[in-house]
Amino acid sequence: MIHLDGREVRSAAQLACDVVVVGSGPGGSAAAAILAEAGLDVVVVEEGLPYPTAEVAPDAWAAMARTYRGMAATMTRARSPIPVVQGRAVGGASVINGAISWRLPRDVWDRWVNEDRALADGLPWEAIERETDAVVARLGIAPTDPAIAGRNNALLAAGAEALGLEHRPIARNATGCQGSGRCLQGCPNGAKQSLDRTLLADAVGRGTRVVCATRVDRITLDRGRATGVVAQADGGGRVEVAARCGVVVAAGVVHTPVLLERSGLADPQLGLHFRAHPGASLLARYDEPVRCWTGATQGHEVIGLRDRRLKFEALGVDRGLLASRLPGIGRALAAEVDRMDAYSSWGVAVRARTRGRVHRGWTGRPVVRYGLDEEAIRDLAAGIAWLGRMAFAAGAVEVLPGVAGFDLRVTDPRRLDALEADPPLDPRAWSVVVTHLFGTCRMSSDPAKGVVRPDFRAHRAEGLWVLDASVFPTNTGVNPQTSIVAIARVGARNVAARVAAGVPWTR
Amino acid sequence: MRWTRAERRWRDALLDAALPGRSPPPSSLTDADWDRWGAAADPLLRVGFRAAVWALTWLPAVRYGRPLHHLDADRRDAVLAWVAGHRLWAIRQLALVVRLMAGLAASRAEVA
Repeated sequence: MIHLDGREVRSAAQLACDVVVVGSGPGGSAAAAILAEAGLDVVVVEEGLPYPTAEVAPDAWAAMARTYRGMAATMTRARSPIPVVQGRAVGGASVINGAISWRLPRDVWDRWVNEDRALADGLPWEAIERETDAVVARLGIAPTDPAIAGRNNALLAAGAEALGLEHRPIARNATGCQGSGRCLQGCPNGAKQSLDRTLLADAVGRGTRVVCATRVDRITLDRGRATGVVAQADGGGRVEVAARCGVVVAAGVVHTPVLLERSGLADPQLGLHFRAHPGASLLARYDEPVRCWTGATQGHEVIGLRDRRLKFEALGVDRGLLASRLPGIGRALAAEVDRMDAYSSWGVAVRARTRGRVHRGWTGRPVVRYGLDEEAIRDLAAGIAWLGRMAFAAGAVEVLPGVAGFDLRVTDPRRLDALEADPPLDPRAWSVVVTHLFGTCRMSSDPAKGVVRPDFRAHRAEGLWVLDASVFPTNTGVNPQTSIVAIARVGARNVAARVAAGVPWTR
Repeated sequence: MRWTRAERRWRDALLDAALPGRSPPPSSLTDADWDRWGAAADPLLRVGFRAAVWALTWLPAVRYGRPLHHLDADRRDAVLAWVAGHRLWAIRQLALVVRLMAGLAASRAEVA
């Protein structure tokens, strides 16, 4: 898989190719596969390390140190900072996510096109659907088998059913899942079909070269045309990749705009329109073993309240992380840990309309400015309340909303009504993370409103494309991996077509 | 920045106080585990946890005349509970980061 490991690069290394792809996450892997299929010579440069099945860590400490940027402790700048969870590995976030797959909802695309008609030409619905079908087939996406889902998922199904909420097994790219409950640390059984194992492997099979442990510092621009990248290898050496046809950037919503900014792309739209799905979780205790760290990590979802911007999922977590979520400290915490197997863990993701911004800080590192506004807090409150209601409907004896200043433990469902009706509006009361990120190099036909055109080319540089979630005009309200891959494939075909057509800038 | 010998003592005592009764205890992590954490963790987490170690070790000296690791279990629990339930958000975050690290360390210790 790895052509050049940056840990072993002590001096200088030069490579040449047709197209260099920055990042090997969902967008980058998808792009590499399509470009390689089109016969192009591709180099993928990835900051993170490979994470083969044989080396999957047995616990969250080791797994997060290896595959999560900053051990998931990179925080937004806000009155109440929020952890931004990002992958940092060959395969990107696909290595550490719950393998959840959603097609891009039609209503989301409709909204994009209503806002900017040109997107219908550059990002036609039929093309997205076609690419999504191909992704579903290649990644083996299928509904979670209830036989391995485990009690954490089964209880969510029972609770939703009792309340008449639409729910279903989650479709996942996890062929042959054995329910080890460790998706978020990496699959120890090789069942999760992350992008390194699938599309990136396909690209490598067609000659794509992958450079890992190497961080791209800047894109080289020659008279407004992208000509390659300069990167810093973990071993201390410098890696230069010359690209005859152009550069595809897929470094993720936080790093793509900062890389472009660092490279001198003077676009005032860079980093704007950051959107996310703030997520919170609820624990509930039952009079039966649940063992929420077993079974499918995220095997069941409740979609009946999507029109209220809420999406619910079971959320199996490593025991170490679960312990930190339980109430108390000292011997009180130890007592809770001793009965940890009685807790379910479920989450809600909010399709928040809040916007933020990403920019380069004075240290050169990205700064994400994003916090919870009142609407997002009220949505979270509703989400937590509904999770609690489902838990009681499934037989929970108490629920732990995890909201500072509110009841630590709730045994009366009516208290959830009170939480929803009158939530604490101080954002610091809410324990939230953001995992689905969008929008910082937004696609728009108007250069005053976006960074890339409807055909994914940057407005302000030739030979430069962005093929990750940063081009999404808005968040989607659903888990984005499959739509990122599908949309990146549409974009990569545009790249390949321009190369094949011999546009003036190709050499 | 590596932990000094004294800081390691305080850190380990704090983690064991935050989540006592584990076998093996959270404090049984190796220097290699902590080096890996130091290399990977966001600077804010590194600084925040170190600050929490210092603060929660020496805050009790104000009330009890002794640092945390020299207190009995009841007083250690009282200090930690006071921090965890404090009205100031910033103080509560100290307990939050310690609980997070204690949980992760305990889980790591089990499998290492």
